Parts: sequence; structure tokens; C-alpha cells
Amino acid sequence: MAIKLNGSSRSFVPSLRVSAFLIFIFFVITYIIIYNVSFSEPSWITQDALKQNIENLDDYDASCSGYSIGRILREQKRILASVRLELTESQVKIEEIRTVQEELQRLIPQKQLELSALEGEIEAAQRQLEELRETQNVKVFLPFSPLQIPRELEQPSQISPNQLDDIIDYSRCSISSFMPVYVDIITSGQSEKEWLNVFQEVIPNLVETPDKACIKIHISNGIASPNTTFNSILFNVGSPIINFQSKSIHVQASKIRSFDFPVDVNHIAVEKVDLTPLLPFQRENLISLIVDNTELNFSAFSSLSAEPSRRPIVIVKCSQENCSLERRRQLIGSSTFCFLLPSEMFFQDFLSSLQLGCIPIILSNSQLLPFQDLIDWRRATYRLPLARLPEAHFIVQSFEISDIIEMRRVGRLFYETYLADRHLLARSLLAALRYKLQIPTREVRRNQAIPLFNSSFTAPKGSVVNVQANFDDEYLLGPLESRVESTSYAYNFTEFQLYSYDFWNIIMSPHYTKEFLVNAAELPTEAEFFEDTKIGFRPIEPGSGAEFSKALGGNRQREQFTVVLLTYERDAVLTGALERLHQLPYLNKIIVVWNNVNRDPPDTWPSLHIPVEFIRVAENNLNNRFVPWDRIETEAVLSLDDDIDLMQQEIILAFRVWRENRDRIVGFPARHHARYGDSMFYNSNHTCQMSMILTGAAFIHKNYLTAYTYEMPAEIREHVNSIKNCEDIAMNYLVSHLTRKPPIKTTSRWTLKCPTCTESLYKEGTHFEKRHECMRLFTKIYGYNPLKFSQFRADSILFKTRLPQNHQKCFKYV
Amino acid sequence: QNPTIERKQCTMSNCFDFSKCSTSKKVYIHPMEKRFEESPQSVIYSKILKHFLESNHYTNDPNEACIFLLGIDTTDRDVRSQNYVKNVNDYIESLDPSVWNNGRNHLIFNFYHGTFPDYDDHNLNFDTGEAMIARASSSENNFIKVFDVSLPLFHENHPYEIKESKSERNDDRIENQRKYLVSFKGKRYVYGIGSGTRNLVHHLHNGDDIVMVTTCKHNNDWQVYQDDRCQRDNDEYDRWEYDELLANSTFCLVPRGRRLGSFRFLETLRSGCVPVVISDSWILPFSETIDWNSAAIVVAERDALSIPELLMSTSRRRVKELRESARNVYDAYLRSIQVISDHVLRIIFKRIDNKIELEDHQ
Repeated sequence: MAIKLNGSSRSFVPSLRVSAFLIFIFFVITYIIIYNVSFSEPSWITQDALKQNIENLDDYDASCSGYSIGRILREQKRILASVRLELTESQVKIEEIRTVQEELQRLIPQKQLELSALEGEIEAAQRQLEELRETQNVKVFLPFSPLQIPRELEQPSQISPNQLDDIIDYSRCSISSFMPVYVDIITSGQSEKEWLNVFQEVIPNLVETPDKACIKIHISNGIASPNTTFNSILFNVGSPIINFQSKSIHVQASKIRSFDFPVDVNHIAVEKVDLTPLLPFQRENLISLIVDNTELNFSAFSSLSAEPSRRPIVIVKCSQENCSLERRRQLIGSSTFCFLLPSEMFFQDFLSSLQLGCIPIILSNSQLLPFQDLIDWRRATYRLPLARLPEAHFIVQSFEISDIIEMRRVGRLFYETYLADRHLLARSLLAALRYKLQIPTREVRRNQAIPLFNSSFTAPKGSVVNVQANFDDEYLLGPLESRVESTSYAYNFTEFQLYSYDFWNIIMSPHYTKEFLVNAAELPTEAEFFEDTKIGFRPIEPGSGAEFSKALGGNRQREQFTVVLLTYERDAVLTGALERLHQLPYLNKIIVVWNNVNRDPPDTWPSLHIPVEFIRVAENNLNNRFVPWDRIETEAVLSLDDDIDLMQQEIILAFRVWRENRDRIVGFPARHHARYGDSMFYNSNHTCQMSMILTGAAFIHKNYLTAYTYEMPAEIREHVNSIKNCEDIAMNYLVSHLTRKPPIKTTSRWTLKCPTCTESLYKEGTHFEKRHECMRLFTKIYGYNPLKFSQFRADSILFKTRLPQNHQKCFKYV
Repeated sequence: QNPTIERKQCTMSNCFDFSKCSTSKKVYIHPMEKRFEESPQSVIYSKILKHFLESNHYTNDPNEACIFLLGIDTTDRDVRSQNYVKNVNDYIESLDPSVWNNGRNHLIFNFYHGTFPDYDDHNLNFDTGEAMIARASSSENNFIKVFDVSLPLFHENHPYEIKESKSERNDDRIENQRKYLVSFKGKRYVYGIGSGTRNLVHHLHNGDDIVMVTTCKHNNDWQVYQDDRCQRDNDEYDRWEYDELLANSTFCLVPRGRRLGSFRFLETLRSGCVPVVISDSWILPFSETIDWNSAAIVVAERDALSIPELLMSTSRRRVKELRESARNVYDAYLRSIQVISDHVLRIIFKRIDNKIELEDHQ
């Protein structure tokens, strides 16, 4: 409380009274001083006091508050210590929190992607809901039956029918009838019986009694049916019948009405004959012309041979003796162009020309060609009026070699497809009829898959896949939409008109109604913004990679793809392959073809976001890879080996590329054909020109699986099966043959094999030997090597493009 | 919820019609129809209205009124509160527009505004137009000086009427011997706004003459958010008595709560304790007429840890002055609901008088 002053009183030795008085005085002064210090603070005292040393802080109340400096300091120290302690504790806590925060920070990008994916899923689901609502409003009902027009009154039977409608009663041929056909013979010769068998084998919807049929085929040797009724075909194996009042459609060489079929069926080969290869181009003669009988002076023809040309022009005047079939074929086979005159021999020579690769030059505008209202013979022949005969050599010599080879190729193809044997002709006739009557064929489930697990396609037990896929290195690959199948049988009727040309002349497959169409028409791209056309479209918002990854976009409605995995031995490898496909966007289904027929599969397989279906097959056959299983419900098929190691983004890129190139094989490692010495070799070297894509990882349209299994020459499949190799070469040959386009290579990948996978078919030493051999064989079968070269590869638009900060690439690596 | 209502930047000269007050300063209260009574009017607002109704300023003729009050309760504008009145807008629309006059010359009482979590929404969820707002928890950001009035926050059982203007006072010697230098007993929030100061006062606690005790217990979900100290704090908290601390402390901490103002301020003054206000940007009650520098200590929130030093260095003389001023201010302006209500009017009347004086002068 008080300040101890350093002043001390000095006492000398006075009397006791004086001492007492002095002590009293001292105390009084001291008291006054103390009092002053405490309450009045006279300036002189404070100043004086500060000059003194402060011995005890607890005695110094600087602000007269009742609290000494010491007390205040101690309080402050205590508070400081308390705060410091808390600070230390907080530091530890901050460290802990920072660790947690770092962890969370790390998760943010992934969580954002997850969120984005979920949002995409929600959006997709909502869109699908909308679309389902839309389709629910469509009323589906069976069509009414066609009208039955009472013709008896309208048209007396004596009057010649002059159009198809006059002889067809459509009421027997509803569009949903699948065209029931009845077939019988009127005359019972050997030929008629053989044809009867052929038809019975070929007719898809054969009926036993005529009254159930839409079409009745009567096979006859030159004799008309006694009681001709509507809807009948007179299939004439004899000499042409001349009866223009007939209510039958006549199939014969001549004496033809507009709705008859001009085919001389007797010249259709019983068995396929070998055809001449397209190359070499050059033939001994430029032109051959066989003149059988003519009203014109023969010299009008023979002068032609004197015309200047690089190769001989051979004109032969035939009589029965000097023109045997062999002689004619020899002449046709040694010429580049075969001038054909209307005659009894026309049809025979025409077929021979196609077989032997001589371009038919038809010297008549009226000569009818088989199925000419459906088959565009202009692609394989050249028609001239007879009057232009003197000019004809000039015309044909002006043709480009490539055009001549193309005409030769197409002629061969028409022949092979429609006319090469009796079965093909019968099929063509039926196809032509259903085109005229516009009747789809029954859905033929020719490839009904057999489930691997008793009655189930899917594995009895599933294992959880922990792979957090879909985010390929922080890039969202696409929304996980619910499964959607490609629309099937959508062209049942446009096939007959809009696509008729394509079906007969390009796809060359008019015999069955198609599940899908490879190059169907596309809407204008702005259609995705119109209320009534936007259904199914997934427009891409304006922006770069981030927006791109959120929607499929492109020129068509959204679609998905099916993975077809061929597997044999390696269960662990297959499991890995399945797991890599987990959460892959746009994937509709995985089909595993269990080629190991001798072994039952394990019960447990990874369960993915989409079904994994296992198919049991009868034999271990590499062709099983390309069976158009009914379980494949999308147009896009991703053919995969079980040991490939593709990034998901590579698959998505390839899918997007394929969507714009649906008639091509789109895949990864490329191979090519090259010639060493005088032979063709299969080649897998790094090269800048390729002609094949390995089908161990390639997108292929389902229609090409059908073509592979049913339309490709059977010898090729047989060869593939016998040597257990070359199915990919065969598929490349087939697609290039049908489209005359090379496959498309995407990404920089050159091999597919995962580094850890060991056992492989391709380790075999004879592998390459077999493949060289396959190429040579297939070339021989097709008559040419259909492979085409390609010198570019497809990458995403912004691949390797420098981008501003706020933009994202389409994919991270591709 | 209403969209944000921009409040006009009013002053007495552009939002107040002095002409209505030139002859007499009467107060008119808008009628309260039955149909607007969602729930019983809060006791506190009833008491305020009662006071005005019975005062000699009251008039039932709007034409002769100077100041207008709403009949509907606007004191609690926290949308989560039970006492929140939803139909204030409807009520105002039902008023005679010429009398409402876009709030001109109106005085609106408000104790609570905004809601969890930030209590930052200062608009009252209805359009106050050009009305003056008498409110507790005014902040420098939303308070219009010399137009609004800052109110103290008080309980409904605050005395309605105390005639005696001087409260009983202890002898200075007894006052000097208050056991605690400074104390605080109250909630601290383990989450949300308003916890800053309350969370660190435990450092000041010495269990002797500085008592700072807090509890984490608030709402029902505090346990979800509790920290390591809660248990210790809660134990210590229970050892001290709120009223005993107020009665025996020289200084009492008045930190902000969720909102800036608190009941504690008035309670502190009533018990003769000098408030140490820690509530940044709070406009202290009646600050237009009261010089709080002589009756309270205001400390910035960031300086809270140096409060002991500050107080221990405050001379006895200053302490005595503060104590006496605090007493006087309380007795004069805050001791009862009547006095508080009256003072609101007096503040406004003073503005009117100043204006008239000014005009006369010219």
C-alpha cells in the first residue's frame, strides 16, 4: 500500500522527552507523506517517488485503483499463460483439422464429378420419363384388313390385265400376314420337282393349302394353269407361254407383260460355279459379239472389227454347229466387253458374262433384264440402242479402267446375290414379290441365344466392383443413363420405297426385313431443338470438354452399345475385363460368349451397372464372336477380347466416332496388307497406311454380324473355324467388300494385349503364317481383295489443341 | 419470407412532417381489429401501448396527432420465433392510407430482428416506409442517426411504473467493498454468430475476484457441437449465482449475444454494477441523449483479454463516478417501462423542439 522511502531519521542522544517528541513528529510527517501519496498525489511527491527504486511492485498502485502493478502483472501473466495453453492446444487441433481438410480437399474434385454424374443421371432419367410419357400416348393397334375389290364385275376375264393390281387380291395379303406362300407343280417333270424342293426350302412362310396363301406358285413346263385365279405365279420351266389374258404372273424368258418376271429359269445354275477374279484387268479381246440370227446384214456387224482398237474386236456369226456353250463361254471369258443382242441365247450369255467378268453391253433398249425394276443393272452393264453399234467401240474404249472393274465387280455381286443358283433365284423372286406387295417378313429369331446358367443369362452370384470408374482421370465420361435399346424394325415399310434402291443395289440384302439399318436417314441437326422432333436427342450445351462429356450429342438420337466378349479359358482375365467396364457410360449390356464348351463357368462374376449375360454355345468356334445374337439389342456392338486393356475414355471416343461412321469398323490397333515378292502378306508393323482394324476391340454395326453369319461366303467361316484364326480378317474383308470403305482407326494404340496377360492364341508360331494364308484365300473367294487403305486416324476435336484456362479438353488423353 | 426491402435513407427533415406537431404533440394509436389477432399481443407491447393510451399525450383523433403508433405487435420480427406476427403487411394495408401516409410520423417498436444463423437481416419483414424505428440491438450499419431511436432490451416483468426517481443506494464504503472486480455468467454458443467474446472470457476467470463462467447449454442440440471445454465450463458455471454475482461485482461484462443488445445491460445497471460493454458497432440505448462514456465502459471485442488490466487500472475515483452515473442514468431513463416509453417520446419531441427553435431563430 505504501511506498517505502529510503529516508531514515537519525537520532542523537537527547533526553527521553525530546526523543519521544521527535519520534512523534516523525510519525506525523510519515503519516502525512503516506496520506499524500495515496490520495492527493502532489506532483513533487510522485516525481520524487519515481526517482526512487521500486522494491516491491505489490506496494505500487500506479493508478490508485486499489490494485498494485504487481497484482495487475500477475493477472496479465495468468491470462497470458491461459491463452498460451489454449493456443498450443488449438495448434494441435488445427493440425488434426488440417489433415482432415486436406483429405477432404482431395476428395472435392472427385465428389464434384460424382455430383455431376448424378445430376446427369437425374437429368437422363427425367428425360426418359418424359419420353416414356410421350410413347404411352401412342395408340398401338393391329391394322385393318385390306379392301376386297369385287373385280369379277368390274373386269370381264377376257380383258388382259395390264397392271399388278388387276391380278392381285390384296385382301389375302395383309401387311401383317408375312406373305404366306403356297407352292405346287402343274406338270410333273424332273425340273419342276427340283424347283418345288427349292421353293419349299426357301419360302419363309410356307403354307400347305392354297386358300391360306397370299401367293400361289405353280411350277409348270410351258402349260398354263387350267383355272387361273388371283395371286398366282406361273413359274415356267418350259418354253414361254403366250397368253396375255392370263391372271397369273409369269416367270419366263420372254413374252412378258409389265408385271411378269423376265427370267429364263432353265439357265440358272443348279450349283454355284466358280467366278473369274476381277483382276487382272486386261483380256485377250476388247469386244466380242455373237450374232445368232439377225434381220440385219451381218456386214453391219463385221465392219466393227475393222475399227481401230488396241485389242481385237471379235465378231462371230453363230450357227448351232460352231457355237457350242463352251465356245460361247470361251469367247465371253476372253473379252472385256460382251456385246449382247436380243435373242433366245440372250439370258444365257448375260449370265455367262456376269460369271466370267465380261461387261455386258446390251444392244437394245427393250431387252428386259431380271428384276430390272429393283436391280439397277446400269451399275454393271451398259445399254445402247442397236443403231449406235458403229459408235459403241468408241464409247467402251473411253471407260476408265476403274469404272470397268467396278462394273465387273457389281455384275459379279448381283450375280452372286440374286442369280447364282436356284435357291438364290427363288429367294430373289420372293423378295421381289414382297417388295411389290409391301409385306414385311416374319421376325426371324435365327440366333436365339441359350443361357449359360440353366435358364438364366446372368450369373447366379455377383461380386461387388470397387472400381470408381466413369471418372477417367478426373474427366467425366458421360452420364449413366438408364438402359435404352436401339429402335428395331423401324424401316419395315420404308424399305420398300425410300430404301428400296439401297436394299437391292448397295446392301444387297432384300430378302428379310431388317432389325436395323446401317445408314438410315438422319434428321437435320437443328431438329434436336424442336419440340416434336427432339425426343431422344441429347444436345451438347455450348462449351468445351465439360459440356461435351455431359451429353452424347451428334447427329442422331441417343443410343447405347453392347459389348460382346469372347472368352475361353481365363476366368481371372475375364473378371478383370468386366470390372474395367464398370460404370462405363452408354454401355447397354455385356454379352459373354462362353466358348469353352467343356467347362461350366464359376457362379460368381462381377455385378456391374448393367447386365452381364453369358451365352452358351454348341462348339468352340471363333465365328461365335460375330453371331448376331438376339440378346444384342443395340445397333452398336463393341467386339472385345477378354485380355484387352483399354481406357474407358478410349472406348467412349471410339463409340462417338463410330456413331458418325456406322458402316465402318472403328477400333484401335490397325493392320495392313502388303506385298512382298509376288505374294500378299498380313502385316502388323508400325505403318502409316492401314487397311484392317483388329476386332479384339472394335465397334461394328450389328448388321455386319448378320452379314458375317448369313451373307458372307460359308467357306470363309468354315476356314476360320478350322484354323481357329482370322475371324477379324474375315470381318474386315466383309465390311470393306460391302461398303468399299476402309475401317477407321482411333487413338494412338498399336497393341491391345494387357501386359500382365500371358497365355494367348497369338503366341503360336504359326499365327502369322495362318493369317497370310487367310488373306490369300479370302481374296480368292471374293474374286478380289476388298480391303481399302486409310492414312489417317480419328482423335477428339480438341486433342492436343492449346486451350484457354477455363476450357476443358474433350477427353484427357485421347 | 419477404424479399429484401430497401429502407429509405430518412432524416427528420425529409421523412417527418413537423407541421403535425406545431400546435400539440399528441400520440395516436392505430386501432387493432380482432381479425388481425393471430395470437395474444405480447405483454411488453401491451404495456407500452397502455402507457401511451393513458398518457396525456394520447389522442384518438388522427388529425390532431403528431406521432403515430401501430396497434399490431411488431416487437418480435424473428421469423422463427413463436411470437412472430405474420400479418403485419395485411394490417398496414388495412389502415387508412392517408393516416398511414407511408409511415410518415410513425414510430415502430422492435426488440428482435433477423433470425438464425446470422441475425443480419435488419428489415422487419414488412415495409416500414418512412417510419422511425425504435429498436433494441441497433447497429451502426442499420441505425439512422437522429431519426431512429435505440432502445434497451428489457423483460416483460421489468417494472411498469416506479414513482420514486431515486433508488436506494448503499453507502460508498459498502460499494467499494464489492467482492468481485468483474464478473460474467452466461451462455456461450458452440456454433453460430456471437460467440467470439463469450468463448474467450474463461481466460480471465481466476475464481477469486474475477469470475467468468459460461455454459454451453443452449437450444437442444448443443451436445452435438460441444467442444472439449464444455464439461469443465458447465461444472464451474453451476458454482456461481447470477444475481449474487451482479450484486457483488464492481463491473459486469455485457458481451453481445446472438444480437448486439442483451437483457444483461439493464440488469447490470439495475444491480448497481458498471457495465463493460463488448459489442462492436452496437448503438447503446438512448445514445442520442445519454452520454454513456460516463456510465459504462465500452471495450472493442478484440480487446476483451485486456479487460482485467483496464479495470484494475481504473482509479477508484473514476469507478465511483461511473457507478454513480450508471445509477443516475438507470433511475432517470430506464427504471420502468413507463420511463423508457416516455423517453422515446422525449427524444423525438426534443428533435421537434430543436427544429422549431432553429426556425424561430432564423
